[in-house]
Amino acid sequence: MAKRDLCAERIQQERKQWRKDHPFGFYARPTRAADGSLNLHNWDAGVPGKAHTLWENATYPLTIAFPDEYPAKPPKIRFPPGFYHPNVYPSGTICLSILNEDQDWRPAISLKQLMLGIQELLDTPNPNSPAQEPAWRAFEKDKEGYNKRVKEQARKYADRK
Amino acid sequence: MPLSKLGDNELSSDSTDFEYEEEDSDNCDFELEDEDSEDITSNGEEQLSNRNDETLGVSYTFPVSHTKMNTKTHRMIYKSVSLEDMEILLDKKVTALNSVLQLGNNTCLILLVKYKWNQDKLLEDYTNGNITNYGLVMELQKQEQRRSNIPLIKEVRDPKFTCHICFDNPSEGRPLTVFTLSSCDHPFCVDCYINYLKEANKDNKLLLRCPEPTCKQLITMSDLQKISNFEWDRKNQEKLREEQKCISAEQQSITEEEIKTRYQGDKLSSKLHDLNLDDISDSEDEDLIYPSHSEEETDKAKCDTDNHSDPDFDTAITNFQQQIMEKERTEREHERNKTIASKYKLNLTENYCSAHYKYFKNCPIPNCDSMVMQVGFDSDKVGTLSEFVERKLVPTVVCTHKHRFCFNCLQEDHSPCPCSLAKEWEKKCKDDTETCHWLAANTKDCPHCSTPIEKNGGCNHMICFKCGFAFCWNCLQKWSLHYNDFNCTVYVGDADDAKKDQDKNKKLLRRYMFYFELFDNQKRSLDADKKLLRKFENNLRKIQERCGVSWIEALFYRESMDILFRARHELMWTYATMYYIGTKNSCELANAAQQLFSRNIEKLSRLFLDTKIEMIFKQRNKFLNYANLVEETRELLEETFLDYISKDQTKLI
Repeated sequence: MAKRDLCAERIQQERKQWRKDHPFGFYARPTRAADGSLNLHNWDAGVPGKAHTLWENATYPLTIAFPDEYPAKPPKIRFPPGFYHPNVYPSGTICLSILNEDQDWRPAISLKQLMLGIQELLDTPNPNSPAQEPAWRAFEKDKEGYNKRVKEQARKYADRK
Repeated sequence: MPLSKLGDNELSSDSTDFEYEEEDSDNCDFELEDEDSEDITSNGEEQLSNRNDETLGVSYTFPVSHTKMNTKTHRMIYKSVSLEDMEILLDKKVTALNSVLQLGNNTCLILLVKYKWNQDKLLEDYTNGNITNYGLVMELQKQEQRRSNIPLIKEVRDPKFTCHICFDNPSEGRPLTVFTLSSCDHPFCVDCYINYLKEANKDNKLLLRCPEPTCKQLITMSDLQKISNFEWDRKNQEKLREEQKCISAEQQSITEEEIKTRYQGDKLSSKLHDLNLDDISDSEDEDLIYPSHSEEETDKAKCDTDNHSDPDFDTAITNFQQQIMEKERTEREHERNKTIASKYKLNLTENYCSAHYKYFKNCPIPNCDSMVMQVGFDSDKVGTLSEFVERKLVPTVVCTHKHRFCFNCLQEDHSPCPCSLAKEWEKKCKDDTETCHWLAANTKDCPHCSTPIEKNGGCNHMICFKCGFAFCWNCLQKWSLHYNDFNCTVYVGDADDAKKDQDKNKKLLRRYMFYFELFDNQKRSLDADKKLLRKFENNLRKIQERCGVSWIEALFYRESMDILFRARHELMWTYATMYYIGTKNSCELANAAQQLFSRNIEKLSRLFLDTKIEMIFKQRNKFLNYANLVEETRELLEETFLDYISKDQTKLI
């Protein structure tokens, strides 16, 4: 029996699944190298803010990196560095249990589930596991300032109409 | 974890726990198979029952020991184990726990991992009914009862089925092999499962869950065993098939049985070949080229090569020994990483040992992977290692590969010298060895500030660079005295008062030098002996052929050499000990024992000087006698020092 490249197989399948069906407003696609070839291990993606929240009318960009051990290990998903959110590290890395191999990551979690999880996280931050100081402090102590900053950020990533 | 604290036994009030009480009293953490230690434990239990009436908080299970001079002393009880032994021990621990909890071995193991191996806490929580993961326990229990007989690995042909990890479907003529946990209904293809488990193993994860995100089921040991067996069988079958292919190309009419036996035979012979034994002895033959003379002449030639030591040859031998050790180690490691289940077990064991790091120490010798487990102390006053060491006792242990080391400082054995002193001594030696020799030969101490001074010119008028004191190199008196016809070349009998301080320093230094020289001398002899032994062992093959002696018959040489090594080592450290304790105690007894010991060592050592093989075998009885003598006096010396140390703790530095 030929040795299966489970990682590549799974990424291909994720791509197929995503094309077939993905939630409205989201996007996710492999990046292209300068010579036009696809890089399946690194993806660009976007998560829209939920309607009727501070985050609405904007799509927040993400980068997804699939390690060679994927799906035994989770992909690394990041916002741009400096992203303003209590559970996002200054580097942009997201602090989310399903993205943590020591916590709730399971091989059967699909890309769709991850993206929906991140969208959910946007408006319902978890103050118990802060990842950056400014957003967390503002979220806890200064709701008004927090709201202002989030809206500012939403304008930065606003959907073109 | 103190040994058998009765105070911890609060659980016994509950009805179910009669068994547990027994379990706890010899603390199933450290169940030993050794007959000796069983004796000790049974003795201990008697003691326990006696002491039960007293309202002592703590009792220990080992009887107190005495030196031969009948002074109370303490000894550490230990057991040297390999990782494999530990695996068995863990299995036993789990089974013992299960006999109390009756939840099944799988559940017990998971609970232990969850409780970070703290069995007492687990039992306490369990009997009080406030196990933090009570839901988990119930779930695990259900898991154990459910579907224990349904095959976990099966083939799926339904094209509608999708593995949610690789999104593969079975197609016609190509069924998908899937694996399901015994506790849930989430099938995934076997390859995905195996990959997942292997990655988790790499990260030393102990609590593994079903890959389905919504499923909270833990993967149990028996599940793991099943998928691991499946993988292992498949791997072997593949190997077999490949082999078959190769062979069938040459010779088509070989049955599978034959292939199997051939395969196993191959494995054996390749193992032997790997050990490289033949290679080395061959190359050695090339090193020592004998022209084809008569036997006697070759013997002479051999002796010559024996006597002159070739550094390259020596290092080659050391490397050879290290190679063997390394090879064996990698083989063991390979064995441990062979299957998913064995790797998982290894992770468990390592986790257990690191959770009890105070009780498990790895052998510090490079490439030795055995461990020593502290079992306890035969004392009612000493409960922990640090208490033991505070009493200036040395916890010397021997690992499964016969390496002797100190359990406390993880250095080479230094008994009877206490750890703190040994450390000081080593440091002193490192700092002072070369310097001391040079200082003694080339400098004098400034009579004012005792700084060592080197004479850098012809004039006897010295000025200390440190304190500026001017003195005469000859008589070490003030230089100012020398102006008025003072003649320092005349001998003066009485020492000056000012000199007394300096004398004290000098005495100390002289004392140090004295013991250091003895220490160093033994060390050198030890190294020389080791070289001799290596040569002997490497030539043994030829000797065997020449003299027609078997390996067993030559064993006495090795054994007496081992005794000599140990004796020299111990003598070496008694010198270091004497340097520190000699002044404060009356040491006639110790001195006498030391003297006797060193005399016997020299007797034994002299025998080894004769390198003629025939002589060695003729003197076999002498070897054995002297070795016995040395061993006896060694014990005597050891006891004497132990006696000194145990008798009066306070007098020591």
